[in-house]
Amino acid sequence: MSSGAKIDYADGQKGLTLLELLAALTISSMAILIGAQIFGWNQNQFYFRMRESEFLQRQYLLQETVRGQLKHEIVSCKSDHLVVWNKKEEWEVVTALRKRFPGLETLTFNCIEVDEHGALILWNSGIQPKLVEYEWIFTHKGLRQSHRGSWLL
Amino acid sequence: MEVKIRSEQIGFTLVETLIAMVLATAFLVPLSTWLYKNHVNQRALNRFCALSLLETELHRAFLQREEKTIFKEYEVPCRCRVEIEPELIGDEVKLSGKVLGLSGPPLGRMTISYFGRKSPLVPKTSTWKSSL
Repeated sequence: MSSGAKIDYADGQKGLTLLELLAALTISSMAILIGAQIFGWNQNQFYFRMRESEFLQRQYLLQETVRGQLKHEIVSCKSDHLVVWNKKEEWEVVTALRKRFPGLETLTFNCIEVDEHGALILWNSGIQPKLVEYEWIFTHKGLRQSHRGSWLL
Repeated sequence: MEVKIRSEQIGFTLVETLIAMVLATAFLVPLSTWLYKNHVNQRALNRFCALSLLETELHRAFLQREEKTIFKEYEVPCRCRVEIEPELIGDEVKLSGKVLGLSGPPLGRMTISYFGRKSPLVPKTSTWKSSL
């Protein structure tokens, strides 16, 4: 190469052009946006799943509480009006449970006994019923489910 | 003058692979966790509901001294099918119940037993009658 030759330094470009800078900014903002979306979605899913677990837990607790109440002596049983007695005082079960479980929409009871022919009939009074069937609708943090169960006395 | 031609790169560089892995993990891990948790929670809720229905049917069958096979399908509160099969073990009647969901293995099994059948244990035969 002769000493008078022109040297082009353009190949050793340093820094970014405006277009490249804008592209880099757009891409990085998109990446941040996507990252934030994923994070937010993950948080929501975690919250929903936790809510479902909590809902199930509350329902199990309600079931055990209902069954606990049915271990007392039943005084009267008419659909949503069940009165029990613990040899000291008597109380209405549905009202007591509504205070403890605010999400309890409805709770109904069917007290059943067996007649002399072996058929199941509704219990009115007298000897304790043989079977108590219960049904509830429970709501908790936007989740709602009906449930049916029974307790053999 | 010697000309060196660099062979065209095939495949991904380490950085590209790492970025792809990070992006894939960012999507796949929450998605798989969500699917798993959703499945587990739904199954737990269904199981809770279905087992209570099976228990109720077993209680009824027990009180009625049921000796026939029972099949019941439920739509409400949850979709399931209850099957109760009586089994005679000497004087004892064992009611074996299972509850099935829409698909998959049974959601639960329960048994209850009683003594004192409605019908006599040994059916009256002509031989027995003639011997009287």
